Amino acid sequence: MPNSPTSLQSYEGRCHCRAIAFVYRTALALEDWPIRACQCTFCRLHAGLTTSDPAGSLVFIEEKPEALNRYEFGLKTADFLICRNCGAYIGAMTRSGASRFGIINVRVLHSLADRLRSPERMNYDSQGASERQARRELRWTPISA
Amino acid sequence: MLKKVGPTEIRATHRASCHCGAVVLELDLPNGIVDPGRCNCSMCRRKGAVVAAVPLSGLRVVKGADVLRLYQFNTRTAKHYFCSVCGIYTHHQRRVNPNEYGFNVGCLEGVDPFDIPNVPTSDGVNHPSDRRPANR
Repeated sequence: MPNSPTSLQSYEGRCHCRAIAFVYRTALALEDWPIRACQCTFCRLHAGLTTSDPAGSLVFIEEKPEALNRYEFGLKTADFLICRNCGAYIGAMTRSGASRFGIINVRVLHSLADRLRSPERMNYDSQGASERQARRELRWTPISA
Repeated sequence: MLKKVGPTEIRATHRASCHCGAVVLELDLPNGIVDPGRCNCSMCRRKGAVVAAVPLSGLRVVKGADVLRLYQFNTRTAKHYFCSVCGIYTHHQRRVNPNEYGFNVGCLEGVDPFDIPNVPTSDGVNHPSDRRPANR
């Protein structure tokens, strides 16, 4: 059955001090979530484990807008969302025209870790900016307004 | 203890840095990386870092002391430091032993934490300092 809005489950994640958060909606069962351990220098140091669903939706919430640090590096094609207060990395977003796409760091979801798949190591170092953008538009979760 | 991780030999004094390079640490690791582990407390599971410890005297901030940000919670005993630019957790003064710093093994130059097999996870939800001694 195709995904319908009613089949989407909501998952809330937040940084440790609760200043920034997200609501991720997906119809995928937890055990079917793709879990990616990107091997870039940033993700390795943050030990990021990310997921996304092109058929899902994502909203980032700034409980304390001044706490949101949008960190860019390398090709600067995405913003990595970090809490200025507690340092947690909650996810990333990229823009394409009027659209925005995002990933979440599953480490900031509550008590799901043991139900998720083992992470798959990903290496995107060889991709240029346009390849990255194409991959993200295809694979990342659309961000709702 | 680990004297080598992947292709990288752990030096007696090994440098470590955050992602953006604003913070640089120097760590004394004469016995290599001792007892690397993870912790499942509300803070550590968000960070996911592989952590090992050194005595307080074994860690020096050689660059970026002004960029480090301190975060404390709960009993506010532990002092968690991270880079205010890139958010990377670099080190913390430990609650279980305030005479030690824990540090992010992934920050060590040339060290990929994915090259460390079978990293144990300690039960930080039920922190040792919160547990009552047995037989009392």
